[in-house]
Amino acid sequence: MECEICKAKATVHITRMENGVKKEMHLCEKCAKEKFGFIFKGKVPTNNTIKGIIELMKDETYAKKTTNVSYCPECGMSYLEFSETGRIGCPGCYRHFNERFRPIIQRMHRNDKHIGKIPRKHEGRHHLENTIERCRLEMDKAVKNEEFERAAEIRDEIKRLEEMQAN
Amino acid sequence: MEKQDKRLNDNGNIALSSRIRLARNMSGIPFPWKMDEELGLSVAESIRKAVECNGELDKYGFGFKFVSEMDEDEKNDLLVNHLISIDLIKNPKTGGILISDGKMVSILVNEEDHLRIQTMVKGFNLDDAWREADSIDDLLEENLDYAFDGSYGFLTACPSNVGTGMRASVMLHLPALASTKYIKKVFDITNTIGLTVRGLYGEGTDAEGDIYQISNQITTGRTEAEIIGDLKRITKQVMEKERKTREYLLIKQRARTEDIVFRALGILSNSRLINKAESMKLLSRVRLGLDLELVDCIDMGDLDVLIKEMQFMGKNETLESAEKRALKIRGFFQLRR
Repeated sequence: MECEICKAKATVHITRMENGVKKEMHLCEKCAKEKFGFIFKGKVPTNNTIKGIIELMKDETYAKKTTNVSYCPECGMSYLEFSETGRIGCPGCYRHFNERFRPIIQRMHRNDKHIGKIPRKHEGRHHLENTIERCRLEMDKAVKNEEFERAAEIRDEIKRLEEMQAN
Repeated sequence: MEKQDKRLNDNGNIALSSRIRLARNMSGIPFPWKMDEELGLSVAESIRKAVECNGELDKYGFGFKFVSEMDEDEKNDLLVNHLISIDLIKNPKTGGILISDGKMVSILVNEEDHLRIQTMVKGFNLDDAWREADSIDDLLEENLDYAFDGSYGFLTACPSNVGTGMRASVMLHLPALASTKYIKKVFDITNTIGLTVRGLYGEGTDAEGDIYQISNQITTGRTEAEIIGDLKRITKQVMEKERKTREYLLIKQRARTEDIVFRALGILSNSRLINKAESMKLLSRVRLGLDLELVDCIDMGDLDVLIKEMQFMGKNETLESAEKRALKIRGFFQLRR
């Protein structure tokens, strides 16, 4: 089988569900790495456990560039400690280890942007702004995934929110 | 036929309860596992105050207790009723709980997160459970400063809860499906849409007594309503399939089904020693028989209480615990025959 991008031999086969429709993709290792930033090597973890994901991330080249001796300035937790326990030290860790947490959360939840409930105290501060921002990201993603109907829906929602913001 | 139609529409005997859990933390304070005792106590105090000082929460009649203030029986009772977790018991000094009068709402303090709001509703009713949790959450937030990030959402000690911090779950009794290959399919389908099926007492526990818990695994990138909507859709399908399989067992395999149910009843009413696994397996069959109206004289609610009690009776399997269990079960069935 040929890689869908460069026509080399396809060795990475991806099956995913999109709006209930099964979509298959066949790529070579190089293109898969470029497209997704990672590939599974060897055993694919069947469960999405935190440790499984952290372990997987260790193999990624970007992880090798940074060291494990970075500490959260607020609670003193090191990334190493997190990777061993799977637990985060304090709310500040999310800011400090942002770059490393994002891909893990992304992998775990297939997304890393909160679009749910916002506490009332935070609503005034950035409710509308955030919602618009989140919608934009969602729209980009929909376009990328060729879900044009959904993208159009989100575009209308953004327009509505922007009008609300202007008033 | 009329009876059958009624049964087909009645899912109360399949869905035992619906629950919502919201994980919340205080801004600027390390998560419980990183706190010292002093800080833990001050967090507990501020949560207690936020509850007790809010007049709108009076209707729940919340009372606060540290784990260290509970005796073994009390802890067991709370465990059986899913009000506290084993993790909370491991933190007796700063871990505590606020329980409502009817025991359907609880707020765990200093478990994995600073607070966890839990609401439980009987049967299949996630919407009510969510409404309740959402409103308590709003009321607590008036006096607490939650750790929240515009992009990540609610910040939690474990990245598996980040975002909404919500775990919605439905507990289902699936004796008919569990006897077919379809149960495996249920597991596979739920996994592909970010839901998970587990045993009665959460992660890593077996589906003893054919009781399964379906819950969301994904907590971010979707709204609470979307997560609950998915869970409701799948749960409905599973319940329908269970109902149809039960009807099949009743109509097409009546003799065999009756035999299984009455043998179970026979052993439960007469055994002198019984371990937990066997008791759960047999009680599940009796429960099925009760639903299919093969057995009468037993109240479903009473049976469910017994099943719950069996879960935590005698943590270690000893001869004594097997004897105690058998005695309790025998008493239950002999009284009702």
